[in-house]
Amino acid sequence: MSAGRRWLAAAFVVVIAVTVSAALVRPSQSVTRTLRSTTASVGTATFVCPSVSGNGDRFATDMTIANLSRQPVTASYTALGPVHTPLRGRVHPQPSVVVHRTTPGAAVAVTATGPGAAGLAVSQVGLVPAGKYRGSSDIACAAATADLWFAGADGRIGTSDVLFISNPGATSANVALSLWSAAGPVSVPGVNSINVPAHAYLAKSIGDLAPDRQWVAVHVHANSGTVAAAIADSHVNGIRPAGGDWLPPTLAPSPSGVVTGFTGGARVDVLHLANPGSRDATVSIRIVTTTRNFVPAGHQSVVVPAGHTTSVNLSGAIGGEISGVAYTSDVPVVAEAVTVRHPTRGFDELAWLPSQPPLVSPAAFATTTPPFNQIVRLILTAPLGAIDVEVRAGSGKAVTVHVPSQRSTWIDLRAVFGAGATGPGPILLTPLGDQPVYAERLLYAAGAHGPLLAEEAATVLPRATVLPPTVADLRVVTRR
Amino acid sequence: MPPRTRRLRFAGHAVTAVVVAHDGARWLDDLLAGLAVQSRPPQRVVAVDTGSNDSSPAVLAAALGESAVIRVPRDASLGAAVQAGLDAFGGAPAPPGIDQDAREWVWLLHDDCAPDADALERLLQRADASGSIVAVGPKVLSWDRRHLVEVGVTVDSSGGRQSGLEPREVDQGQHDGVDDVLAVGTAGLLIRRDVWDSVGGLDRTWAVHGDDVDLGWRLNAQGGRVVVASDAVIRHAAALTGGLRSSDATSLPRGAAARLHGMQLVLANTSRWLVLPLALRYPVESILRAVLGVLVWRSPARARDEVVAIAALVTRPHVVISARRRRAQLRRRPHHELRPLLAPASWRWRRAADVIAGAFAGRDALAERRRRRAPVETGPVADEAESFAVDDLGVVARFFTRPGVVVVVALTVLALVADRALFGDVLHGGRLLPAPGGASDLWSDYLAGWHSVGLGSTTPTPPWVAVLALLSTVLLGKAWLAIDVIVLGAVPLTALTAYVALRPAVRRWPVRAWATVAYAMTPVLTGAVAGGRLETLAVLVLLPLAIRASVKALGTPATGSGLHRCIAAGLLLALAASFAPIVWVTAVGVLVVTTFVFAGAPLPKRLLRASVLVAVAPIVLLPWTAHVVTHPRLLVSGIGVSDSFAVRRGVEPLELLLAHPGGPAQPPLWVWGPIVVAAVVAVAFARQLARAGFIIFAAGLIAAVVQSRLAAWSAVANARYWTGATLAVAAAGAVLAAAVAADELPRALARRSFSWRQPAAAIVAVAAVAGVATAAVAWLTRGADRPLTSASASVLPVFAQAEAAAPTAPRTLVVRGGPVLRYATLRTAGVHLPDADLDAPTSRSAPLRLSAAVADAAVGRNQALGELTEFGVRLVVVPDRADASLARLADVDGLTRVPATTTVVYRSTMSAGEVVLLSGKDATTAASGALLPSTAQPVAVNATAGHASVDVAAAATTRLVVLAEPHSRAWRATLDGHRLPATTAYGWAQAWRMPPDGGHLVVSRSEPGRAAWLVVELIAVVVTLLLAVPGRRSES
Repeated sequence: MSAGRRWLAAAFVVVIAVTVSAALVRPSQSVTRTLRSTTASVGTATFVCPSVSGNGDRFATDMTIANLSRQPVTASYTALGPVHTPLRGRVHPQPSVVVHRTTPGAAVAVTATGPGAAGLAVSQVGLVPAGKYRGSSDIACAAATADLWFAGADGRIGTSDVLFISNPGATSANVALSLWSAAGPVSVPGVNSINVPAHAYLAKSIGDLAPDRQWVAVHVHANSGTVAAAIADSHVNGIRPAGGDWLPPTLAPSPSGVVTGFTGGARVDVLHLANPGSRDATVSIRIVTTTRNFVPAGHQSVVVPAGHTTSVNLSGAIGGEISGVAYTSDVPVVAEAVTVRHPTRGFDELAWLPSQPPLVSPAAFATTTPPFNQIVRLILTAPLGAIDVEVRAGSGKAVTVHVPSQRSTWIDLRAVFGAGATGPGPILLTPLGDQPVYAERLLYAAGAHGPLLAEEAATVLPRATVLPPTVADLRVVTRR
Repeated sequence: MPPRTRRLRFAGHAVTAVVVAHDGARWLDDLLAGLAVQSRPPQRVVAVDTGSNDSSPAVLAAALGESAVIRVPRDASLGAAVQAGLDAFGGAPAPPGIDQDAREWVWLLHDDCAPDADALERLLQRADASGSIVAVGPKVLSWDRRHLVEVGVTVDSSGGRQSGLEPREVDQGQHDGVDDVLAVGTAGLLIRRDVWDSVGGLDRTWAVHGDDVDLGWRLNAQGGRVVVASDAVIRHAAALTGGLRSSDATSLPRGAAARLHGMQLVLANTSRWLVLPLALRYPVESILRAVLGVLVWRSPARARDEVVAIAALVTRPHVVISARRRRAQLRRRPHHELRPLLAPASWRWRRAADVIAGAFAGRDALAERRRRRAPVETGPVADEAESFAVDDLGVVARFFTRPGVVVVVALTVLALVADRALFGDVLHGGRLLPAPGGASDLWSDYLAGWHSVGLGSTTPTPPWVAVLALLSTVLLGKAWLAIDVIVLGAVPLTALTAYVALRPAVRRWPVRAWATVAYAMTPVLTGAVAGGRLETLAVLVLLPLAIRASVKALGTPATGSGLHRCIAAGLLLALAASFAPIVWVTAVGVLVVTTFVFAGAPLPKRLLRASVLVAVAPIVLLPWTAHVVTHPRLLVSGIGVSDSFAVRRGVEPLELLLAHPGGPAQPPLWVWGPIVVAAVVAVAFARQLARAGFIIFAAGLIAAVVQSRLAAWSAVANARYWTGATLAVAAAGAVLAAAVAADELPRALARRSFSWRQPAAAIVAVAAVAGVATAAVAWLTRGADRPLTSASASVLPVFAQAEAAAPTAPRTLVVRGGPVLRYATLRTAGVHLPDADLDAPTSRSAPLRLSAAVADAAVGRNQALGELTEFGVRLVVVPDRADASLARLADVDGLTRVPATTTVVYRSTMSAGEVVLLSGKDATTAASGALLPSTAQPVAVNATAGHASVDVAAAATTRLVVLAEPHSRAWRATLDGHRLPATTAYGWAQAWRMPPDGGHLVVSRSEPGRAAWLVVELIAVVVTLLLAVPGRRSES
């Protein structure tokens, strides 16, 4: 074999050997640097109750601090702002502690530190037994955040809606308010930069912000810091009380959502919708009752013009059944509902029902004590598929509630847990499946002057924070 | 010799010939013979012997008579000797045969010259033509009459004696007709006696060197004319200039004397307005010449001459001053009238170019340069030479009709079209970061031991930064231009080096042109441009030169060590390895194989050469070499930000074989196939060089396979190391093998009868050309950009950029969302080259802490505020306004959203900066290693990155000075000059305990190690450069 042929043979061997080796040797899958999320356990939980206040016999508020974890916790509460009588303390809820306030107060921040903070739930229930503002109110105290949405407020005469904005943080917060009404966006001077001092709260009348506007939607956006907010809603018909409740924050603009907690009985059920976007929204509504689910006649689709709000009266459609309302929209909308009792005798009473995210983790109600020791119910709605929900009382007793597919259901908490007049205490809800489920707790009493009605959405318990994986990468600094 | 009595021609001129001898016996016979046969003899002849040690006096006495020989001391200058000869005739009567009122002339003759028989007659004929002529010089030929030595002389502004002739220029009468000149040499000079006396003859200040130029300059300045009679010829051995004898008239070395006298005579004779500029220029010029003498010529003697000369000039200014004073009295003509007689600057530059060409391109290049300038040889020539019209073209036309130039120009146009989207703002994108402000920034980065990048870094700066800085400096300090040249000019630059490198290997220019285009259109190059891969582009440009130098170094005959070639090749390899060290590893493999496979020089010599070649890079790249050894990832990781090249299963083997590294801007896979086929087949029949090419190809391919199979560290999922540099080696080898094969193919096929080989070769050739054309069209169509771009680089709003320059040196955190949060901390308005290659944290805890801070901020945890303050972060920027995954940044207490149009910006309400003061509980908390609480109240003070010098007021308690840099013993802080006790804050940051007293606080860093390493590197580079330059060779 000549030298040239030997070289040629060697060259072929080298090329083939290298190519085959490359084909056989593949990079291992571990070549990708695995970046995983980590979790940070709940070390501290802070909830803000919008107004823990009272006025002797005429008005009282119960702030219930519940510990639904298996570990002891120490919670401290302090008023956000000056009060005449002390409104601060340190408690060890096991399972709950009630702070009864009969003197003027303020917003209150409740903070728990330690492992038990993950089981903290706080709510405030107010009762005005008589007088112009007669009614029962109830709201789950919530953690401060940067964005809060409300729908259904009213700036007209006859309604007293006051927006409470609280800043539990150590630094001042700066908030901007945006308002929409049935007549379109509400231009309000001086609301783009409202300073909320640290450990303080402020109140803004919706009537001042949007005078004579109905169905007012509000967006509270914290430019800096975080805030909690709620609207105290009271209706007066002349001198006749027409009910009141806390209008709680609802789900941020979303293409779908569920409002549950519509109760039976003579009443008016209204779904408020707001479209803060720039395109008209077409909203489809489906009512999910305990026996059926259907599209309400006459409301197959509701058009909400861009920048406008509207309301949908579902009274006839719901027809006195316990139910929830599922809605979908082609553009994100804000939804919140009100259910109003019109007793044949006595005064009207109402309760606000926020749109909620589905329960995907344990949630709780801090209190289940009904007014005048009467009725406390848990209403559950499963708009898509059946799901079981474990309901565990503070005593440790638990029941599993089956929610049929595309149905709502309810249980009498006193009966289920065999509790006394004050109810079973705090309860913990744990969804036992993947289907979305929504919960609302109803407090009700029928009195000589009319019903007392209050509803509250379940408080999702503080969860271990999922910290996203991070990596230093200079590429983020340049445009792509 | 008695004077003649018969009537002579030019009887109106009486000539006294003065022969000056100094150890010149061996030439005297010719001189005396020439003198004896003069058609117009001189009237008097006198010989002056300057203490010759040979038989010169005896020879002169025998020829002229003892009385006609004057003896002067051995150290007498030429001027003194001539004057002594003339003085010997003081008061003598007019010689017979001439007019009574004849004009007296002095004819100077050196002992090493020999006049033609009619020399004096021609000189007198010229002198007689005009009354204003005061001095006439002959045409001086070499002793063998083959070359011109002088046809008049002049001087350039540096004092260099200039004849206007090419070295060893053949006399074909091309300089006949030269008339007025600044001066003529003293050998054969005919000068009017009265003028000689009036100007004082030759100035003895400049004995031996420069006196003739000075004399001519003075004569011209006085109003006389100095002319050349080119029909008067003398031969001149130039014994002193040629080193055949030494002079005792000066104590300085010959070179130093020539240089000193040149400068002095210029300063003495030039316009007074030019004296100061020249006096300032000469020292700089001499230092440069001295450095070049060492570096380029490797001639310490030359450097010594420069130093000695400039020292003498500077220390003896009175020489020039007194000389100018004497000349001022005689000057009749202004300087500007004499300027045409001085050497134009172009002569000096041409000579400098000759020096450079001779030093770097070798004697052949120098000869070629001179041949082109020399007159065309006359006489009958071959027919083909007559029809070779190119020689008739001008320089520019000849340049632009060269195939290499045509190819490079065509590819330049192609590149300009392909780069059409990249002519805007600063280049960046892919792996490329924007260029820094200027060359000084790059130099600063290279020289610094600590880099204010990210969390601070002490990683050694890669040597390519110095290369880039040097290039930027050459380009007037514009770093962006250097990047543009490399990236946008990659194709023509690569073509240029490839064509130059292939020239000695491939004889047929069409093959060379094809190979050049093929190499310039390799998928590696187009991919590297689009991906902003600087290292691959640099390797592509340098590789052809390195291969050529290596082939020349290792392929030289057995005689001589040739180590300087090895070192030169090693330097080129080092240059490439400074960008991509894997090239060095690949080169080692190639050299190991070729050393043992190819015969030539004896094996020990081959081993030595190969060892020297590969040893250069690790030495000159110190201290980076050690860093690469301890961080082997640098071998394969490349330059710039983390690689975004991702492929789940790795690059396919066929892609690697066909030089496709993957990523953007890849031509169709097949285009490189014919070249690989040709490279493989070439080993069967082509020269050894083709086999070397294949070995290079195989080594590059193997390295690419290994590189592509390594697990890459990257933030990008399924990221792979890009095999551009290694495939560039493979491509270079394949092109070399294929080109050599194509060059030899016609001859190889001609030896065989027609068979399958001829059609197969034709098919491969056509496919190879089509492949290259397809690659070019594909690149042209796609464009060179993406992800490389020239769009505006910074994501920071203008106000954020301004805030980054605040006096407290706050930092900006830039975060992008997604499944993985990616972030960077900025200390300035943006990142620049080479930040990504310097960003190697010195601490383990600090990056983890920052990462946690980013995650906490992203989920809205309040503790993020304190955590970010620890790192001096004041602004948090989310470049993508629609990035919902980072919406919870707003939940962090103390982060205030700032209105911005295209980005989301949060400003921390906590005072943050490079240096903060903590007091009270905050100080205690920080010193304990705990997080800075969100309620803390740090006070940022004025500082720059890693440095502060500020007055601090007194306080009630002890405070903690916290530097937002990882703890290191290199940091130090002083208060009014007293060192503060160091401690650690937050568990990672450098801090000091400061007493309640106020004072002047200084925070600084000491990093002496880097400086020491740089000195070592500088010495290594200089020594290597010196060793790489071939030794000086005498042209004779």
